[in-house]
Amino acid sequence: MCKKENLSTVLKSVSKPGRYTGGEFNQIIKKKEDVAVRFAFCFPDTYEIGMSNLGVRLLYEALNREESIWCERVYAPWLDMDEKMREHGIPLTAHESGDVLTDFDIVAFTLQYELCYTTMLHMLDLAGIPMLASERGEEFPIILGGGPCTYNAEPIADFYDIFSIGEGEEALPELCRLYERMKADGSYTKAEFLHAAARIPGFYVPSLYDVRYNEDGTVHSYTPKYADVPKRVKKRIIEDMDKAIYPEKLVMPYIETVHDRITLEVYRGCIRGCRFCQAGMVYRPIREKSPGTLCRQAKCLYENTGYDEISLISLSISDYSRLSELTDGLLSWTNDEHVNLSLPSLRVDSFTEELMEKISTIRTGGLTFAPEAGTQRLRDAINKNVDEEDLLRAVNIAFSAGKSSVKLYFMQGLPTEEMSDLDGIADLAGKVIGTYYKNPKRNKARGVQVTVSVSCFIPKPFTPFQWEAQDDLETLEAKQEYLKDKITDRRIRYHYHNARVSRLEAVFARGDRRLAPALMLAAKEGVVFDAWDECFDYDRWMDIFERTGIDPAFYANRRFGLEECLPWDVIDCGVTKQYLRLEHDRAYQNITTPSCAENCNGCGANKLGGKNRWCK
Amino acid sequence: MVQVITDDALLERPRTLRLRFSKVGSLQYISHLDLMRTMTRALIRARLPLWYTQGYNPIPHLVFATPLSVGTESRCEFLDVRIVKNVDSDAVLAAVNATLPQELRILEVYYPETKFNALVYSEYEIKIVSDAIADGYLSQASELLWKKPLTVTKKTKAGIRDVDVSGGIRKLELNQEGNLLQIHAVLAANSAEFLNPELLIRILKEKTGILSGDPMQEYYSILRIADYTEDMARFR
Repeated sequence: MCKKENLSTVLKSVSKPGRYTGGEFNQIIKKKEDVAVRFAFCFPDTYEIGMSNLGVRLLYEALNREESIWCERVYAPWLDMDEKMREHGIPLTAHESGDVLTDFDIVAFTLQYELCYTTMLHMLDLAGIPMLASERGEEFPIILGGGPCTYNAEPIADFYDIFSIGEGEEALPELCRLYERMKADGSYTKAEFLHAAARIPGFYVPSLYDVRYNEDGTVHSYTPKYADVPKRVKKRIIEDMDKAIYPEKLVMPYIETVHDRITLEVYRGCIRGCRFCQAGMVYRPIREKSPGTLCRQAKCLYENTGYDEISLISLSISDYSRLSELTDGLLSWTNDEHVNLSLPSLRVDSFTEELMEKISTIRTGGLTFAPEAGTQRLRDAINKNVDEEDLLRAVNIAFSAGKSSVKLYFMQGLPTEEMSDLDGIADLAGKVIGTYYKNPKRNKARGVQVTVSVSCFIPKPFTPFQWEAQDDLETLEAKQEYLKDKITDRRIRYHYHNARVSRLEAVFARGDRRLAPALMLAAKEGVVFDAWDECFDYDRWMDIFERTGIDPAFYANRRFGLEECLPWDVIDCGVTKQYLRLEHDRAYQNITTPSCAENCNGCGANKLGGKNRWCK
Repeated sequence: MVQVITDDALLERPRTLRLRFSKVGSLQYISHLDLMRTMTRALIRARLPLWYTQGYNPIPHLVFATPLSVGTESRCEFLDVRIVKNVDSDAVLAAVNATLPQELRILEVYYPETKFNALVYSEYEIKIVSDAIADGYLSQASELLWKKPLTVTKKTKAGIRDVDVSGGIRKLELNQEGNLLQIHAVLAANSAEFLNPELLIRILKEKTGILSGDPMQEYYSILRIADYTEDMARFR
C-alpha cells in the first residue's frame, strides 16, 4: 500500500475523496497479529450505495463479533479514481487497514443486482486477482459470493470459489471457523477446504458440479462430483429474529450516503406472494421481531449514531402484525429527540388515517403506492391483492391531509398483459385526479400532481413467473410509447425505465454458466457500473454477446419449458417448484391466492423452520 | 458516558457555546456540509442539550467560523452551538471527543465573548514537495508571490475574471530545503475578503510547473494553525 501522503495528490484531484479515506467513527480496527481470518467484504458499487446496505451492516457486525475474524469493507472506486489507480498502479484496498485485497484470506462480494457483475470483476482486476476461479492458485484468497443474486449465480459461477446461499449471519462465521481450523491443523488446501465447506449447509461450490446441456441449449443436469456434496443446496435462515445478531453501532459515513439513517429490520419474508416478486418468495418463511426487541435496538442505535431518522425496513411494513405497538413504542421518545420515523413500503389496503397522523415522514414527504397493474384483471393475475377502491381510499386520506401529489408504481410487460391493461394505467391515474377534485378537504391552493412510474417486467428465478418470456425490446418500447400517447393530462407525469437495461438484467437473471465469457470480455474491455445511466451501453453489450456467441433472447425472451431443468434448480430456496407451478397456473386463470396471514398456502418454506407467526 | 449537563433547568434563552477543534488527516477530504452532519451527530451522541431551530423541520443550530477547503487541514476551527441547559465545558470536551474519530478533536470548549466577524486572518503552513523545486526556486517563488498586483483567474457568479489577491496577504515567509518548499502565510479570512491558500499553490503551479509530475511522488499539504483578529491578536 502506498503511503497516505503520496495518495493525497490523487485524492485532491478526484470527486468526493471522502469515499476513499476510511477512518469513519465506529469502524472496527483489529490487530492483524491477533486475528486468524482476514475477511474483505466488497460491495461492487460506489461507497454511497454500499454504506447504505443493511446486509453489509449486519454481516460486518456478525463477523467482527468473532475475535479471530477481522471483517473490513471495500467499495468500487468511481470512474475518476479508477482511472488514477490504473494510471499509477494503485491497487484496490480495504477501508479499515488500507491493505490490498490479496492480503486477505477471504474476499467476499455481496451481489445485490445483476448489473453489478462487471463492476465486481473490475474490482478483482484492480486488486490483481485473476477473474476465473480456475486460474487462481493457492496464493490467492478464497472468493465468496452472497446476496440475492446467488439464487441464480450461474452466470458468475466460473469466477467464484464458493457461494453463501440465504442468510449469512451464522453461516459466514461458520465458514471462517472451518478455514481457521484447517489452516491451524495443516489440512488446508483450497480444494480440501472447498470440499469441506460444501458440506456446511447453505454453501454452494460451483466447481463441484458437472453441468450438462441439451442440444437445444437448455440445461440437462447438475451432478455433484462427490457423493458427499448435496444435489441441491438449501438456503440458510435465521431461526429466531429476536435472537439474531443486530449491530448496536453503525459505521458513520462522513459523506452523504443513499440511505443515511438507521435502518431497523422489522421482519423477514412477505405474506403476500406477488407472482413477479423474487424477494417475496426467497425470503420466506416470514419471521417477525417483537416490538420489544425493535424498540430496544432503535434506542441503542440512536444513542450510538446520532442519526435523526429511523426507517422501518421490511418487504411490506403495514403487514407487520404489531405495527401499532411498535410505532407507539418508538414515538414515545422519537418526537422529543427530533427523530423522524419513515415507513418506506406501504400498501394501499393498509394505509390509514392513523398512520398518516403518526408518521412524520408521511406528513412531510411524498407518498408512493404500487398498484403494479392498471386493471383488476391483471392485478389478480399477478396476485397483487389490491383493488381500485383501496387505492382511491388511500389517496383520499392523503388528499384530506393536505397532500397534493402522489406517485404510483406500475409494471409493464407483465405476463398476460394486453393493451387494455395499459389503458387501465392511464385511467387509474385519471381517477386519482378525479378523487382529488371531489375531496372537499383538498388543498385548494395547489393543483394535483400524479406521477406514474413504470418499470419493465423481468422474469426472475424462484417466482411463479420464472418460466415467462420477457417482451422483446421492440414490444417493450412500443408499449412505453403507447402509454405515453395515452397519458395526455398535464397533471400526470409519466416516467418509464430504460427497457434496454431491463433486458440485460433479464439475460443475467435467468442466465447459465455459458454467460461467463461475455462478462469477462466486457470487464476486460472496461465495461463497468452498468446500473449507472452514464455508463450503461446497450449496443456495446449486444456486440459483446455477438462476439462471444451468445443469444440474449435465449435467456430473456424465451418461454422456459415447465419441465425444463433450470440453471437455478441446484438451489433450494424453500418454496417448492411445484408451488411456483401452481401459482403460475393460477395467474393464467386470474385466480388470486390469499396472504399467509389468512391461510397457509403450502409453499414449502415452512420446512426450513424458523420462529414465526404464520406457517403451518 | 460523561454527564455534561450541570443544571437540569431550562435556560431562559438558549446560550452559545464555542468549540475549537482540529480537522486533520483523512478528515481534510470532508466538505463543509459533511462536517456539519458529522458534528451534529457527534453532539447528539454526546447528549448535549442542543437548541433546535423552530421551523417546519427542526435541526440543531450549528455555525462554523470560517470556511475550510477540502484538502486543507486545521488545528483551529471554531464551531458555535446553542444549548438550552447549562453544561460543564470540561465534560463537554471529554464527552464529544469520546464520540469523534481521532482525526477530529475538540481542543477547547468555552462560552465565547466574541463574534465570528472578529476573525479577520488565518495563519497557514504550506508544504510542497515537487521535482520542479530545485536550486534557485526560492527566489523565483518569492518574487512571484510578492508581486503586486497578484492576479489570479477566479470563477465568480459574474463569470470568469482576473482578481488581484495581493491585498489578502498579511504575512508571507518562504523556505526551501531540497525539493521541499515551505510557505508560512497569514491570509485574509473574513467575510469581506477570503484568500484561499490553494490559490498561492495554483499560482506557483501555473507559473513554475510544480506538482505536474508523478502524483505519487509530488504532493502538497496545507495546515491552518491559528486565527487572528484585525489587530493580530489571537482570535478566541
